[in-house]
Amino acid sequence: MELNAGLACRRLSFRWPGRHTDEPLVLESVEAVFSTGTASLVTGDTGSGKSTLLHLLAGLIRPTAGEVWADGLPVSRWPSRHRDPWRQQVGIVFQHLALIPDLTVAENLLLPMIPRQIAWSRMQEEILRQLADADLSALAEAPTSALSGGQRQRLAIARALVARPRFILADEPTAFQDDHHAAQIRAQLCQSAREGAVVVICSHDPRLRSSDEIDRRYHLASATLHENFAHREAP
Amino acid sequence: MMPRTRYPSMAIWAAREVQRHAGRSMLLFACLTSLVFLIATALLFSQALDATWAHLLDQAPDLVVRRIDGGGWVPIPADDVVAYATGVPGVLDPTPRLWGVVPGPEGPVTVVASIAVVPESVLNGIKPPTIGQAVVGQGVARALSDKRLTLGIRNPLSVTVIDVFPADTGLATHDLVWMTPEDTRHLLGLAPDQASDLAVHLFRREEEQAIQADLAAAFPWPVRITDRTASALRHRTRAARLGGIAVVAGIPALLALLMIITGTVLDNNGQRAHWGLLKSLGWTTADIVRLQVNRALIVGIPAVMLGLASAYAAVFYPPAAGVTAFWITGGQHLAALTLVSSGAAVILLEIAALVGLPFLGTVFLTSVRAATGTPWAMLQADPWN
Repeated sequence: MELNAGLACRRLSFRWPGRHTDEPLVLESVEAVFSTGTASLVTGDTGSGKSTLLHLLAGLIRPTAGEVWADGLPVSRWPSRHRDPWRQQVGIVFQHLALIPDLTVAENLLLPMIPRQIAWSRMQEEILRQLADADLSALAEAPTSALSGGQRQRLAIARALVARPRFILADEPTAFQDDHHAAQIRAQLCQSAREGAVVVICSHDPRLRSSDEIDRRYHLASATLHENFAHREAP
Repeated sequence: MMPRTRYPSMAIWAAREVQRHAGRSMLLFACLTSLVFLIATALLFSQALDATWAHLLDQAPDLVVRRIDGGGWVPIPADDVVAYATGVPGVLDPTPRLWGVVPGPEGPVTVVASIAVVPESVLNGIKPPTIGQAVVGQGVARALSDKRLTLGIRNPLSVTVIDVFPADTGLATHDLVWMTPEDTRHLLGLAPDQASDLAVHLFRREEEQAIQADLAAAFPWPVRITDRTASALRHRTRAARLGGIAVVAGIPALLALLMIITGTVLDNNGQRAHWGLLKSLGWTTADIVRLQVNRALIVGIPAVMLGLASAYAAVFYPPAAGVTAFWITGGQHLAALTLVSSGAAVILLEIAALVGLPFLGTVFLTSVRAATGTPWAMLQADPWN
């Protein structure tokens, strides 16, 4: 298995802490490589473990067994003091968005930039660019709590992309979007992949499943991940 | 290469966080300010009292000789004692003093007839009284309804008050009445050649202990000799006692500290989910701790400055100083106190040690404890789950 470029899962297993060992694993011996410059889509039923897989790839939780490798480094084995700074290479879109409602739209975008040693002027440029890409320029100073569901989701995506991370992990990024904005988000994520990022999207959305822009497709079922080569849906 | 501007960004965001949690920040500010105020007031008062006493004692005689017998203090023959003391090597300028304590209109007052009893700086610029006149301290003046003062019971005397000692000499002159030697002798029942005690200056001040035996042997009757060190010790004991009162005053201060610590702990636990989100966005534990320390400094530094400034005003600014002195001493009237610059520096260091370090230490340790953990576990406490 190629472990040197992109994100790779090597015999990755996960069971929620505190659960009995006779309970089924959420993920079992998952083997996958999400390569640099590709946009990968992970599908699966609700509760199949898609979000858990993203959290494992983002280093938010540790696997029960197996490893996550990032650009040839076994990041899941690292202690927190090494994994925390590595996470600056990750941009994550949570399914529940996890925005801070009392901050403004622009301030939510500022959050990932603060610890990244970026000059204020560049921060402003990046924030303005992301606001424009997300159709949120007019709402920069609005409190996040004032946004609609779709706007919040676009803001969560903009927050994941604003620091130009190496690994982009998006959980149901188009769930609340109309067709226009869903296509816009898909284009944004795929463009990031073309620029050299590793993009992993977990979604049920048929608009993503049927997209030609997605490079690789996986299906998660029964705790195992399979690559799906017949990606075109029947009309 | 990216410019290294992490610290200003963090500091700016810390200021935003202070504004974002304005209520908590204000509570923290108020607690810290009152804590610093209470402790600094007690420390400044005690230190300033000590410094003021030391200043006054510096002008006092090195030794004071009193004649005693089985009944206690007895007057001394003024001319003879000067002759006896002059014969002792190292003694300079022995001066008989005429003074005593007599009943006044509102309690005992100290009557003096010679400037040797009171430091010269206290009497500076005040016109000496003539027969039938007196200069009085602030405490005595307050009890008068007109310019007439009647003193004593056995040999009562009525004099006209011509002046009042300045308020800033109150430590030495609060209950003082300065009058002529003739009036004083009449009031104290002394013969014309008698004095109350003998003030002695020494050629070498450090010999005040060694010379006492020779000086006592020079008189044909028993004497009690008081040196400056003993006086200073008395005053320092008093300052320390007031410091003890300050400790009692510190109880609410400690309660306030407890509130601050508790508030900080609750604040940090409540923010655990928020910090989990920050960590998932690329913040490290060190970044989060740095943010919290910045927040603490943004609130803490102005709070400490305001607390110190308020304490300074409460101890040295006349209207407030009276209230403070009343609070700490339980009603004693005190002079306007002076602060020595080295004393102020010590107070600043003490405040830093007593308040600043525990506060910052609590913020640091609590933040480290709360921010250490997997981001996912921290995120579970959040409202979006």
